[in-house]
Parts: sequence; C-alpha cells; structure tokens
Amino acid sequence: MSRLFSTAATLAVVAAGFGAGCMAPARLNLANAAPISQSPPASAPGTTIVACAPIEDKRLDPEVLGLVGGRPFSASEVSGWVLRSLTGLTSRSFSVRPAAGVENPPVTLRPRLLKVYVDSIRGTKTAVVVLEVAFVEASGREATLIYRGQHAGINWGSDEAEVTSALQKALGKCADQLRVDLDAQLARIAPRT
Amino acid sequence: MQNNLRYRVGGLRVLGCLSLISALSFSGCATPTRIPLETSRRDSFTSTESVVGLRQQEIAADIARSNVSAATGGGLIGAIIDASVENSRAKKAEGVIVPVRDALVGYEPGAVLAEALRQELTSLAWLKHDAVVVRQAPDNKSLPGWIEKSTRDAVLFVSTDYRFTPAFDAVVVTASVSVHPRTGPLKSAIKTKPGLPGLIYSNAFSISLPMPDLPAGKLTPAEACKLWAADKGEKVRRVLDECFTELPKMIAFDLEQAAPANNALYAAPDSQTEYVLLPTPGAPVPVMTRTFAVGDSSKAFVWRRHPGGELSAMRK
Repeated sequence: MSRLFSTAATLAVVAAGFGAGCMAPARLNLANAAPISQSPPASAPGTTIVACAPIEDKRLDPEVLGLVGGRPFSASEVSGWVLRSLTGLTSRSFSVRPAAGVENPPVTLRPRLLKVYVDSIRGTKTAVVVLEVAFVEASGREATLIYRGQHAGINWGSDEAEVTSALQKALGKCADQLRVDLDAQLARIAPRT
Repeated sequence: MQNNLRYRVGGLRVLGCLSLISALSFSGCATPTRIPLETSRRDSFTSTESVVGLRQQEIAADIARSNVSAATGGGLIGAIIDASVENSRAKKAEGVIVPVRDALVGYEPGAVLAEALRQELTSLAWLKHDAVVVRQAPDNKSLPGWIEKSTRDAVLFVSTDYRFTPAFDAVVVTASVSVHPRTGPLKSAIKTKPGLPGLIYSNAFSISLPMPDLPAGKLTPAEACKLWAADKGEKVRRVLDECFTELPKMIAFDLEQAAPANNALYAAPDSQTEYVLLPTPGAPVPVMTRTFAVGDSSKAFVWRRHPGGELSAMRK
C-alpha cells in the first residue's frame, strides 16, 4: 500500500513537472493559517503572561514569497500572520499576548521578521521562516536569538493549499523552538519575578 | 584548486552530458541570444537607473539531476525514479545548507551588488547612470511596473540568482541583464524578447568560484557546508563579495561590446572546446562548448564568451 502511495506521489510530481512554469500567480490568504506545531498543545496554558511587541519586518518586499514550480506566490499581511501566531503561543508555564494589553510582563518579545519565502528544487517545494527575537526582561536584560523553521516536501501541483501548509509547518517549527526557549527563560528568571 | 569547476563538471557521467552536447550541436545554426547595445545609441541616453532584482531571499541549494530516465531510454518508470531520487536529494540539500544560511543572516547581497554596480556603471559616462534600487524579484513580472514608475529615461535590470553547486564545492552567481528605455529616442530602437518588456540590450552572465582553500579529497555536502559556514560564514561571504563585485565589471564591459557581423555566433580563432557553465536564469547548465577569453587578461578572473554571446567568469 505504501509503495502504491509512493508511486502515486511520484507520478504527481512527474505530472506537476510537465505543467510547471505556466501557472497563474497565486496570492495566499494566511489569515486563518495557524502554525502547524510538532509539539502537543498545552492542556492548560500557564498563567505567566509574556508580552509580544509588534513585528519589525526586515524583508525587502513585504508581499513577495517566491516561486514554486515556476509559479509566483505572494501574500499580504505576512507579518500580521506571524504576529498572530506568536501572540497565540502557549505552554504550561506561559501565554503570549500582544504587548499593548499587558502590564509589567516578566519578559517582552521583540520579533523581527528576517525571511519568509517559498522555493523549489525540481519536484520538491520548500518553505522557510526566519525570525529574530529579542527577549527583554523586566530588569532590562536583553538576549537575542534567531529562529529558523523550514519545511521541504514533494511539490504536488504548486497549489495554494500545499504552499500555505508548507509555510504553516515552517512557522510551526519556529514557534516550537521559541516555546522551549521561553519556558527555559521563565524558569531561569522565575525566582526574580 | 584552479579550474575546480571544470574538473567537477568534467566528472559528470557521460550520459548526463550527452543530451547537453547534442543540444549544443543544434546551436550551430542558431543566432546569438545576446542582444548587443547598438553603439550609435549611446548618445541617446539621458538618464539611467539600475534595478537589482534578487530572485531569492537566501542562498539556494542545487542538486545533481537523476538520469535514470535517460539511461534507460526514457519512459514513465525512469521518470518516477528520477523524481523520487531528486526529492530525496533536495530534502538533504535543504538540510545541510542551514548552517550556511544561518551564517549569512544579515548579509545583504543586494547592497553589495548595488554598490559595485554603482561604481562600475559610473565609468560609462554615456550611460548617465545615477541610481540603483534593490528589489525582491523572483520573476520579471513586476518589471514593467518598475520601468513605468522610474523617473529615468532608461532602466537597467539585473536579475540575479546565487546558489551552491550540487556538491557544495563552489558558489555560482547568474544574472540576466537587460536595458529598457522608458521615454525618449531610445524607444525607437526597441527589440523584443519573450518574458521581458521592450529592450535595447540583453545578455546572461555567470560566475563560479570554488571554496577558498578547499581541502584535498572529497567532501560530503555537510562537511563542505560546515566549512563554508565557519567563522560566521567568512568563506561564503568572501566568495559572494567577489562574485557580486565581478559581475558589474562584466556588465560594464559587455555593454560596450559590439555584435559579430551578420548576426553570427560569437567565435574567435583561439576558441577552445571545454566544459563551462552556460548562464541560464535560476540554474546555470554545464555544457561542452567552444568559448574564448575576452576582457582584460591581467585580472584575477578569466571571462569566457559563449557562442550565444553569454559571458561566464572563473578564477584564473
């Protein structure tokens, strides 16, 4: 059965290859595209509220995403999509909220969006999200880390749904790493808060 | 490791090259792909702006093609195997390249290229070049809008791509360069090329540079990427800087070169048959072809002119 699936999958790649390069540009709607996380969701989000400042978008173009199978992809509100994902981040020790509604948080996240793109190598599509996040503690201490999430998988047909899904998985990997670091950060500073 | 690329490309399997060689043999009756700028048009330039279009946001990986289909005489089974093998290779390549990409976070190839372009094109007084902007441009679809919004009479568009070779032993930069008149007398000289607005010049360029101090013996892609990424990407930054500085020199040189008489293919008495990278958008193609050296031979690079007029550069 798995061999049959594999053959079907590869056939799709071969077929997609014939059609590549002649498809209309696609504009993704990421409004409801939550990050696809590898970690299980927190059963009960922690009570520590972490603030997240607005995203500083450092990309050359806020809308261009790249080409998959020769098809151009773009999306508006990419930084809004990432911010919504970050402000929905939870674990058993914390919940992240927009900075505007949080008073005296133990940690404030200051994210900078460095890269968001899709690409393809032959019949494989890739999606990449790179975030730089400054962790600013209430004491004023600051540390900056870079998070890279990426996904590579078969390009079935360069359609909007699969490219959106690839971006969700890439962002999900960033969010998973950030969640781990934030948990560790809060555990470290807990005695001081 | 002089001519590292030629060595590497020469190592390709024969079957892999056969199609390229045969494809090239058809080019004997073709016309050049390069559209030269007519010398008589130089006096018509009043103001020119450059647009550097970056095709990608980060350095790209490449993979060796799977040639099962070619080896088995074609057919669906071979194509399926090829697709499966290439998917596996692409996933691995995307994994091993991560340390290099991390080391390049903050590196701005567009800024390096723009500054070098500004310096080189200023030396062409007739071009009256006075501005460079950098855009994200995975394709050429936004170009007509940028030309329309330009405040200059002509736009020089440099669409560039940078990637590793499949073995990660060298960096390859390719660029498609075109000049588009917006207003003025140059509009009367417009020629057409598929996928581009009306233009008066067009050519393709490629530069390939091997890893500096490449260790002897075969490196795995992961080992090579580790070396490229060491010291905050010192090697890859140095090589990219060299490529993005050399490219504008080639462009400035080529803008002043006339075409062969009667629209013939480019050739010279000292043409040599060799494997070189034919500059093509996105991924240069290794071909066995007859090229000849052009430009100033005292420089660190040697420039080779292809029969179609394209220019490629390698370190001497």
